[in-house]
Amino acid sequence: MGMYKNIGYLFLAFLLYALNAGFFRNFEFFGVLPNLLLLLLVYTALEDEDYFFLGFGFFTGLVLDFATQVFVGSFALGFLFAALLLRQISQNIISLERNWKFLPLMLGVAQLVVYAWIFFLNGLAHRFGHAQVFFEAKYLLNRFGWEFLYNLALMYPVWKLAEIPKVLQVKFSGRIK
Amino acid sequence: MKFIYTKAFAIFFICLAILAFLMFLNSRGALGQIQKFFLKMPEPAVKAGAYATGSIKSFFSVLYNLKQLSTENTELKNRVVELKTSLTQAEGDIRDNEILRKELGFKKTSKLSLVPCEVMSSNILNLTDTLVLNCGSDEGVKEGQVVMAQGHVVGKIIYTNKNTSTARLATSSKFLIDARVSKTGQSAVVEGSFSSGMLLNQIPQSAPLEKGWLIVTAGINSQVPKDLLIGEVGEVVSTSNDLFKKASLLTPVDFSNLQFVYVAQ
Repeated sequence: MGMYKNIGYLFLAFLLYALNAGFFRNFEFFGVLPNLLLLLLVYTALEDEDYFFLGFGFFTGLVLDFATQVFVGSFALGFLFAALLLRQISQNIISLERNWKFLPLMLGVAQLVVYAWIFFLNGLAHRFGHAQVFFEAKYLLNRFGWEFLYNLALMYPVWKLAEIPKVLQVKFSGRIK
Repeated sequence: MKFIYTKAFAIFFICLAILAFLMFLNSRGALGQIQKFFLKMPEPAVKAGAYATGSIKSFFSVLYNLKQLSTENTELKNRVVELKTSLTQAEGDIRDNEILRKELGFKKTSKLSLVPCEVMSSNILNLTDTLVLNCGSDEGVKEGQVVMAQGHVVGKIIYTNKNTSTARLATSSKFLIDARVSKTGQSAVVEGSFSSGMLLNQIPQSAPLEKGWLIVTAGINSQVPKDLLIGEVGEVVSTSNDLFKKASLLTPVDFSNLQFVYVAQ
């Protein structure tokens, strides 16, 4: 079931989180930072053959929930639904090959779904006094474009890094699964 | 094959069940330890990345600002001379103050109590303008208390768990604190300015305000001690037609690289 590949993805998520929190913290543009875990989610949703990407997306979203102090589940559910939607789109609506034209669209869809969940769930929790911070729609919309562009600029290097677990899988088990 | 009979739905349902459990723990305030574990794990790698980029950033910023550094150096030398003179005067005032207090039998105000905390997560996506600290209600941290670093106010506690707490940064647009101009005692309000800095607001147009004056907390709120340094006045950004005077506040604190802070009790 691709054990080496899955361990590779988990290790890569750890590395990308550390890069996001430590390295890119000093390189903000127009008040936004990139979301490298979202880029990894897009890769696993489109390229992974089995269903590991669902649990993986949920877990990485949960880590972001704890790191950003939004209501627990905002990023987790956002990542989960985004992963599911991307897989459905790529398998049933658009027959995707490794074509860079569709990847910005997929990234935009994933980011939109995540933002929508953050706004909805966090807003609902804040309404009942369970969330520490509240996001206005205007604030999220203002940062959406810049964050999309920043993520897009980093998509290629993250994509190349995300292929390493597959290489590991082939090297250690002799097949991709 | 219907979606509900697929493996994907099973995984989806398990994730929802785990989330429901975590939400239940969150409502009971029991999520602190799990949160701490998730944030502590990548800490060495995060610190290594921050250290590497901090060094690179400061090297290039020094090169970029060489000319400005020379001017600043001269200004600072003059400022040191002025401050030394003020210090001598202040020491004399302290002595007189002590004598007067003894004469009138005033009770001395207790010294500030500071709880040291480590920053576990610092505004990772620039989304919330908050910090997660590794101290909570077990250490006496309460909502509304002020967070300090390098002698300056850097935020306020907005949420506490048993072992962790969340602080809103002073640069957040939702940050607000009562303040006063140290030199004149004029009341004011300090608010954050969209993650980029702080603004001093609600100073009457007739009140004097000059660059370099120190701004401190007013102590109106019982949770916020008096006379904690917030920053110094930068440029006055309002015009004479505005209702109140507004000025930018300067602080030496790098809000994107906070690692250790203190909660003032």
